[in-house]
Amino acid sequence: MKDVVFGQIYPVNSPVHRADARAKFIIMILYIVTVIFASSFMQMAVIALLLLTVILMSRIPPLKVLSALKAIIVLAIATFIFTVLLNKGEGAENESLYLEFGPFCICGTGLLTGAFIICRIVLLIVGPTMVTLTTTPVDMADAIEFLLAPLKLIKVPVHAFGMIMSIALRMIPTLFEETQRVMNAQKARGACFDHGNVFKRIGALVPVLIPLFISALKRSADLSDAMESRCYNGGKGKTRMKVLKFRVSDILSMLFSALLLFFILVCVYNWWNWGWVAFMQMGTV
Amino acid sequence: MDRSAEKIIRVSNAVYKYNRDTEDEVTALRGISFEIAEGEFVALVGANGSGKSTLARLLNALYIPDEGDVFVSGINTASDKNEDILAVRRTVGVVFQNPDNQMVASIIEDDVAFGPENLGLPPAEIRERVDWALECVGMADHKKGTPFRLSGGQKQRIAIAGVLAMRPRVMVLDESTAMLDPRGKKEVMDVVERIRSEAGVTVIMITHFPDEAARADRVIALSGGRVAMDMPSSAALSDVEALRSIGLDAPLPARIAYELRKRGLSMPEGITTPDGLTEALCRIKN
Amino acid sequence: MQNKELKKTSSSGGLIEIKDLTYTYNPKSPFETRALDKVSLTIERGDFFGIIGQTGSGKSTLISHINALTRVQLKGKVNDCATVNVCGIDLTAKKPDLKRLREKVGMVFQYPEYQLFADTVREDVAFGPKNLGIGDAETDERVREAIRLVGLNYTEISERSPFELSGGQKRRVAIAGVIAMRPEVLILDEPTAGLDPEGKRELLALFKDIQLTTCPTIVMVSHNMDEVAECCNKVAVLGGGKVLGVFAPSELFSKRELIRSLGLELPVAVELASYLAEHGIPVRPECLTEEELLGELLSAYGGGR
Repeated sequence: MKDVVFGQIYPVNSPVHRADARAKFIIMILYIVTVIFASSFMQMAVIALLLLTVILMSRIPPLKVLSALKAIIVLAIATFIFTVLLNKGEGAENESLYLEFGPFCICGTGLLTGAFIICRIVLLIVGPTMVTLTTTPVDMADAIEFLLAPLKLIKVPVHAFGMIMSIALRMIPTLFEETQRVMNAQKARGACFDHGNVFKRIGALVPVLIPLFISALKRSADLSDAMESRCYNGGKGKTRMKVLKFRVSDILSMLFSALLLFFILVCVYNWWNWGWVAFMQMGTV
Repeated sequence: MDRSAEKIIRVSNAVYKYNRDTEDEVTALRGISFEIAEGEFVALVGANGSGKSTLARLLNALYIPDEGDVFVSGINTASDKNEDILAVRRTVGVVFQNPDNQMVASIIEDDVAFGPENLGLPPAEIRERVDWALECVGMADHKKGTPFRLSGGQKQRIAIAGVLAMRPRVMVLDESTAMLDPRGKKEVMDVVERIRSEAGVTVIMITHFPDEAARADRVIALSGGRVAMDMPSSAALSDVEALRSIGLDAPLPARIAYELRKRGLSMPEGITTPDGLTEALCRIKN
Repeated sequence: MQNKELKKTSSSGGLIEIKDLTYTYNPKSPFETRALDKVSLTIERGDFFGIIGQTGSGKSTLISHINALTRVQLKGKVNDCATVNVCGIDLTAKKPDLKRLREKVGMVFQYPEYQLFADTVREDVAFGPKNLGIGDAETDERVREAIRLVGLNYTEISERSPFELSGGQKRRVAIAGVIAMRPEVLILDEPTAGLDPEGKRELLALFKDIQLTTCPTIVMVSHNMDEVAECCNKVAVLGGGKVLGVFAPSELFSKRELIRSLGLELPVAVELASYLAEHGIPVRPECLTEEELLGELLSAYGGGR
């Protein structure tokens, strides 16, 4: 359970936690765009530095934040390996070629590109993780509902979507525990989950999945009873205890994020041919 | 009849069937009638499968009786007006069995706020009610925390706060202590006592623990979907044979008194407490 | 090598021999918690062994070690001197024979009905024996026997879906699924949780019966002190990850201070007997069960003709 960082708020009091969830979402979107546009190690470093500032401000142990990367470590390494192997570094004259075999090779450009992609993946994961670590699922659901509000015009059930998300986040740890419990129960009856080929292993999961499915159904029936009995009415006439309010700091943070995006765009495209941009283009990949 | 004397809960001839009009039809309630007045503390007892939990859902308009009626402060739960159903649910709050399956939010105060938010109250009032309810159940210190690392008893107290924040006049506890350890059971029972005395809430407690039923003023026992007993708790809980015949245990002092009486000792009727048993035994000695 | 020899001789004492076992959750992290702290315990063949303690006292971690669902922590040095020997299998070994272990140790979890999965009761009960690699004929025989042992009727129930049974029946089927593996030790975690009084009584009678007929050693974790007083011949008290003592029930429940300090309850019979004794009624305050208390009262007051 401790490994499931996503959807698990780390409850301490900090300026990042107190910030408006909608602001955090908007900043997150701006941030993602920024990371995607960034094209040099220097620009990445600037973004990483700012992200680190946010992490420190949030008073969450940095290791806790980084543990979010566990989930994608395989993906990241695979991406790195493929990028390195398939990148031939064509066109570069002073290319340093380390190894070549068949269609694959390891060269300087490849290694740099690989490293750059790893940086990008890390930044893309850690940033949004900061949002989930500092925002309660309810606020998150509210924020999504707010941001999707325009869709209400075309009759998309935005409220239901927010509610579903909040409940899903609420139930993840519970179901995770339950999975562990059922697996243990079947193990005690001699079941084996780590032997045989893929098909055998999938087959071995049936005695876990069926009880899980049944209990999830029971839980959802219970939950819908509990919600209905607490006057839930599909969100009609619902008010909020915590009214989301943009504060000056939220607006400033959003402006700052927009500025950062603009800055990175300038660094990438250098529309006005400013001299200092060359510095920011150091380590362009 | 004087309408102003309408009891807060009136169930008359309620019948409820699961999977109605199908092959798997099961009749859970076969004509239940009783009334409960405001301020009463009623224990609803019965073996598993006696229809207790179905009845809890009937009191809250989660289920509508197939025959007969359920009135909550004069409103028929079968009403098709949405306001009526909401009024019923605002009057009768239900705390269910599994604390994990009745929490909607991952932050404690957000979960407690869920009910009042659905009622459309202004934010300041919701905040006030949430703080009050968490105070009532002794969980105010945890309000910003998550429920995951809490004990069962604590989680259930939060569920009670969630119902309490809607300021119901009746609270139904549907086997809310069944999954808890002894400490959790005691926590929940103490909170229920407090709510009764401080907030004046009518309590209907569904249970099969005799010691919990003994705290109530009145016991309604169900068996096979019918009311088997409906009387003051001391009378009901001292009737060892009647309870046994519907699969329930009387409290230990009552069972001992019953056995002693059967073996020829003179024991008065109605013993349910250690005190009562002591008194009766002292009388023999003298 | 010598060390191993030593362990073997020391383990000849009991069927389950645990010595100095320590377990830490999330070691070396801020969430580090010690669930077991140098726990030592001997369970002999034929014991109905109770384990009591508050939620979080380490009971679950302890019993899941017996079945190797939680493995002895070998990293670090905490368990260097630990012994965990279950039915002759050394669980401190790097690769203990888990298959043989699971054959010998059956485990009934809390709310075991939530592990049912198969289309029919018969198939569900056969899951364990099949996993052990037992042939069809013998599996079939074991399934019949197990279903009969848990008090259900094979012909009536074997082809039904386990999901359409009542709560109590489901639990029995789940227990049959464990018994069908013919374990030497049966571990029960809160076996009667959520049942009504009659269901509880029937289930306890069933375990006593199983102990006499098929599985001589039973380990039961319970919060219900009446059950512990009624069934167990030895009771280990856990608190804060330590074994605070192993007692016979009569001895245990005379230690009121210990029981209270751990937030546990006394059996209702003990509670009532001591209340009566305090108020001048001539009974021993140690009466463990309803029958004992009744017997005392009858002899004191001359009833019972």
